Amino acid sequence: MRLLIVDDDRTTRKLLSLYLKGKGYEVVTAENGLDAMEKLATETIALILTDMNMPYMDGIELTKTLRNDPTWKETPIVMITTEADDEERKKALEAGVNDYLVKPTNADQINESIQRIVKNIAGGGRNV
Amino acid sequence: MAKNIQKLIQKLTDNDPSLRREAAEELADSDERAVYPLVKALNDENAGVQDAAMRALIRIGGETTAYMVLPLLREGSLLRNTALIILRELGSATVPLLYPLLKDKDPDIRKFAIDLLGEIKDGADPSEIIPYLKDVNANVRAAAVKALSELEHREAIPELIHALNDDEWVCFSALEALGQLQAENAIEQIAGLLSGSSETVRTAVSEAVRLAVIETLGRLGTEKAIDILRTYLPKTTGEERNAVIKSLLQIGITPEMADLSEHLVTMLREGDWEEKEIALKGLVTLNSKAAVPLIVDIAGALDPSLPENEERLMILKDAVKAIESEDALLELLESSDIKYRGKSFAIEVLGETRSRKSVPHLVNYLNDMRRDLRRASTNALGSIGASESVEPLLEASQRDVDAHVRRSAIEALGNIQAKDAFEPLVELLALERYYDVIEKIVEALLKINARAFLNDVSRYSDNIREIVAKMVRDADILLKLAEDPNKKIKIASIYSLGHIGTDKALSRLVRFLGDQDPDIRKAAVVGLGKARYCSPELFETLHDDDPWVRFYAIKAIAFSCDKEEAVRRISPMLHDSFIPAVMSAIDVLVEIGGGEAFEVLSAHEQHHNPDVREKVREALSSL
Amino acid sequence: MTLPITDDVFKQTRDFIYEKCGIFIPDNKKYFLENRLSKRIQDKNLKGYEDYLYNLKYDTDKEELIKLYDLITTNETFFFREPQQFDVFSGELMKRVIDENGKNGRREVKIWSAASSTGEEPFTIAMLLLEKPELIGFKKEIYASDLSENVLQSAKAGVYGSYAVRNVPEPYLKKYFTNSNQQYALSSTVKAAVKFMKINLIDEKDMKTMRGMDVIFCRNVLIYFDDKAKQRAVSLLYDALRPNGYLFIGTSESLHNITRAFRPVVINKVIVYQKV
Repeated sequence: MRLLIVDDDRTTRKLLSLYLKGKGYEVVTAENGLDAMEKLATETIALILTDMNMPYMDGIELTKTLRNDPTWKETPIVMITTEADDEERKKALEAGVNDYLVKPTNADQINESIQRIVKNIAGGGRNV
Repeated sequence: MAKNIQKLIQKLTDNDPSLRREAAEELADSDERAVYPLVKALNDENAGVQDAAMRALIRIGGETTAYMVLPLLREGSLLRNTALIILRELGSATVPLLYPLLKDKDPDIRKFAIDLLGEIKDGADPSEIIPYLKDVNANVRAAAVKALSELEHREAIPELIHALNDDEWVCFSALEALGQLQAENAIEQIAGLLSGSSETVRTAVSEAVRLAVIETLGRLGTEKAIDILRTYLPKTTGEERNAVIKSLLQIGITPEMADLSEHLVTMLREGDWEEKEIALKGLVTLNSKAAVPLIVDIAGALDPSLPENEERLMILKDAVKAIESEDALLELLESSDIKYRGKSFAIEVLGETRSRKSVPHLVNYLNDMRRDLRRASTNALGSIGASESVEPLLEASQRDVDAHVRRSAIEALGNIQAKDAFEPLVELLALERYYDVIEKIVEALLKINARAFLNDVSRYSDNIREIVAKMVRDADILLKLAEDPNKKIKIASIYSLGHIGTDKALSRLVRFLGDQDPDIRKAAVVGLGKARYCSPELFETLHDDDPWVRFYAIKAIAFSCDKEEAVRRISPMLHDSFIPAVMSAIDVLVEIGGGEAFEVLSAHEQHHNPDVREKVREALSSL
Repeated sequence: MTLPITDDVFKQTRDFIYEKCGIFIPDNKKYFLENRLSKRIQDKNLKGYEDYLYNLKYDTDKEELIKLYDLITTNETFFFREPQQFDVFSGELMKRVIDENGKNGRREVKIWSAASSTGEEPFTIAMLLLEKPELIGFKKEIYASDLSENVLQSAKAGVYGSYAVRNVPEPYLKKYFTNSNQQYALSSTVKAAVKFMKINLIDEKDMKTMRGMDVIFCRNVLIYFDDKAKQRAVSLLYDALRPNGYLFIGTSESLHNITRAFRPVVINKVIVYQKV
């Protein structure tokens, strides 16, 4: 299963990549929402993990854009952000993310979220 | 502009987005009055307007802009992130406004402020950041670690070492930071994480952190780090093993293990570029001939016209050269399953390493269908210089349909200094149509036998004489060509005379300063400038009737004479009626610099021509 | 032999190149300049980079500047380079453009090849459009521009070697080229379809002459610019496009750190940037 990690911070991309490779996933990375859309064009991606605050296109806008695009409407998105606020979580869920994790998180927590979503899709539902 | 700003601000709310964008673009050249309207436009429904407003605010810059943009950090994600870009670009103007934010109760605001301080660098005070290594929020602590490393604040190393015991995210950032800061005294604590013997009660060190530790040890690269990695290697499997090998190679150590070569070939095949480079280092040390086909194949996949690939091709080439690869390369030349770019890469390497063995193969390639391979082969044969390649190269120089191939075959013959090629090349000279190929023929003939070729220059066509005039550095021939009836040839010779700059040449140039034809005078002026020959005759040309002669005289004098003399002679030219000459005088005065130049220029701030006034102002501010 | 360049002269040369054509050579790419210019300097029998720079700045003929530009941007150009992009352009994208323009009552298409080099790209575009029956009765304007006058002259001649035409599909080769002695000459129909002009992508005055384009090709040029020049060029390209117009850049290039004024649109795995 190939995942797309979207985060403007190099260190975070690296850590998340190590986490997920360690769990047996293949990983592609992008620096912001626009970069993510470019990567989606050429790579087959099963699930997206995105940061919220990024330059040029943030995670919320990326989610909204993908949810309006027939090709990626259904692609699961997990937001991983420092924003712990309920308000921000609500906005993200409204935009269409499937799950919302607050940094710092860890390999197990992210993996659980991914597995939950995958199972849920297999069971016919969409949101967690 | 004052009235105009109001109009533009109004236009910023027009119904037509293209007009709104235009307004935002034009407001980039305005002032603080436009800041608030532009901040509002950041939220425009049209992204083109948002973008233009953002860039305009960055252009206007200053503390007011930073101050007005700052509150956007508390807005929705679009404005928040646009504000982050603007504040970063405003640089030191933003810095003082960030310190109060460090005390904000919202951890995200604290993190933004710390991130920005680390990114802006200019004027940021790292000691303000240190307390936040103990922030209640782990993301703020991680940001502080990163910022301190970006600010290269080595005084914080003890605190960063302490952060290794913090939450995993903070610890990970700390490893990155300590590697970045080359914190050699942190090795013991860093290595401690490998054995899980960290001071704290953390249950287990995750694989991700262990990998980061191994990488960091590689970056630090001290004896101690090498020891630790070597001892650790036998205990590892999978990714960790890979990481240890990489780190050791990075330091320049070839780890002792049986299957290293295979391992490295896999890394070379499957890794990203950074890993490929590391693998290459190891393969070179092992002199791994088995890796040559793969290296050539990788080279063959790179489009050489992209600048970043140019560097990569060089690295690959160096690696192949460092391995004893001649036989492997020759085998590849005969193989059919290699890309043509790969082949031309192999040919280049064989040429650069002067492989005599490759000559028969390369000669065969002179008849290949693909132009690139013919070109690469002719070039390579030229650097190898084997006498048996002269005949086939001659053949190529006469018959190849591609002018580029002909050209490089001719160049090769010149490099070999093939005596047998002299007559055929002279014949070719009469037949060839392309100017750049003719240039190459002349060059080759000069290399092979200059004396014979220049024996009687007058028998050649105008084109050829002009090329000779450009290339030859022989004073007698140039002096002869300088009297040629063809003006182009005459001018080319004059430039070349300036280039050789001997007494004879200079006196002829001085004579040409009095020529009837302004183009000749101009060439002589440029020539004297080239020769850096400061003379009274050159000063005279500042009063030449032809304005372009005066124009070039200014430059020649600035280039040839000492500063004081130059300023004294050139200053009056600021009164010249020919504006380009005035402009050029300003240019050279700026280049010469110094107090006198400044004084002279300041006297002309009120010049009647507005362009000159503008230029003088610019010049003064740059001085 | 590669001539070494001193830091000081490198900076001067770099600044000069940047000022003249927007191409920025960062400090760590010094070898790039050495690689590209050493031969030229030796060919011209100059003493070194300093003399070369003097030549560039003060010599009468502007030819050298153009040579320099050619040297640092030597692109491999050939017809139908990166064919996936042309497939998408002549297929789905033209369908969209025809459709969108139709809705606005425009029976025309305006295409611009903004760094046309020796003409392979705009002529490829011209052939593709000539082959589209949907465009019969449409006004087809194809513009091609480059910074280098030399290159434009060569483009206007429309004669190519076998190398340049290696990707041209057989039917096109038969229909639009005449081959004699390994030289391929373009038919006058194709040549007449393209209008050439000299434009510097970072010059606002030049760029203002281009407006209302449906599609712009600007491939493998931005890689030579630093972020600031890129932002400037892309912003000017944005203004040259009609609302919702499309931009093709090279397949190894990206705009994601340059601007949010374009959105990547994906058609058959090819990325096209749309003005928003």
